[in-house]
Amino acid sequence: MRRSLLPLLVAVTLPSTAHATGNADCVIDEPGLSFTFEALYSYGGTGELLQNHADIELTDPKRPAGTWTFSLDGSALEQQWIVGDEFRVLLYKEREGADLVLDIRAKRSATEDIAFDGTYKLVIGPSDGSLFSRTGKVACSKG
Amino acid sequence: MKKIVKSSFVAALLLFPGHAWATGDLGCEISDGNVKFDYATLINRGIGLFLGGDVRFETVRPEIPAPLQKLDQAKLQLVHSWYDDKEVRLMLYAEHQDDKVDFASIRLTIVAPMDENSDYAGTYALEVAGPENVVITGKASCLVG
Repeated sequence: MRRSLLPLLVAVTLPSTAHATGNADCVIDEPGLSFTFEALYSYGGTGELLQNHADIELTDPKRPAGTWTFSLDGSALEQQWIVGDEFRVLLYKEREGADLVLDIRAKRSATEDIAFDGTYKLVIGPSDGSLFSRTGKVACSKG
Repeated sequence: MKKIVKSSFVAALLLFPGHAWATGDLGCEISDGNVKFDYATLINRGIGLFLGGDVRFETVRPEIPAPLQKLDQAKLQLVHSWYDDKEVRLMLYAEHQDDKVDFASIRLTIVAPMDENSDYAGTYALEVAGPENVVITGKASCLVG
């Protein structure tokens, strides 16, 4: 599922220079896992993501015990590489006594300039030593 | 800096209770006739989290305005990073404007794939925008320990 974006140009004043911003997002929509990631990104020299937020709903029957429907704020974004034709983010969250890592890697679509298609890897390590992981497709946009 | 055998996202699959991911050191450097650059940080190897970082950047290239020729982490900031078992990627950015320099910026991008010796050997591109626009390229290397 891909959302169509209308660029939202907002002047954000950084310490010394005003940079315009646009929207970026990633979506996973599969049986057992729904995920959305939204952020502003700077059109200026950095191209970095700002003010990001994510929602995850993991209903996979193999998931660890506990509630896995929750939101992640900006502190969950641990790595980002939004450079050229690549769109990568890595999110990390401690929850229900477990570590959750979501690794998203996408490349620019050949047919749609604002679209990036790729894969995700979700790993959850509960405190009982078991391990849950799943992979699948992800669609991202930057416009 | 000690070399580590490998640090990878696969390590994230070997999670232990209590979040026992090890921390290590990551460092990258450039030393050629155009740029001298050192970057050092602690990393959480399980999730590639960069924990701080010290930067030293120095150049004598005349295309780069004087205020941007010698920088530390307060001015040259890490804006993109990626670390896994295959490669280290860094992008740092600084800009300057004053009465003499209307606006100038530098963007340093390092991409260093892991080689057969578990070192990260790659290249850098230094993009300069301002009174003169130029791209300077060369070799860069990183170590994880």
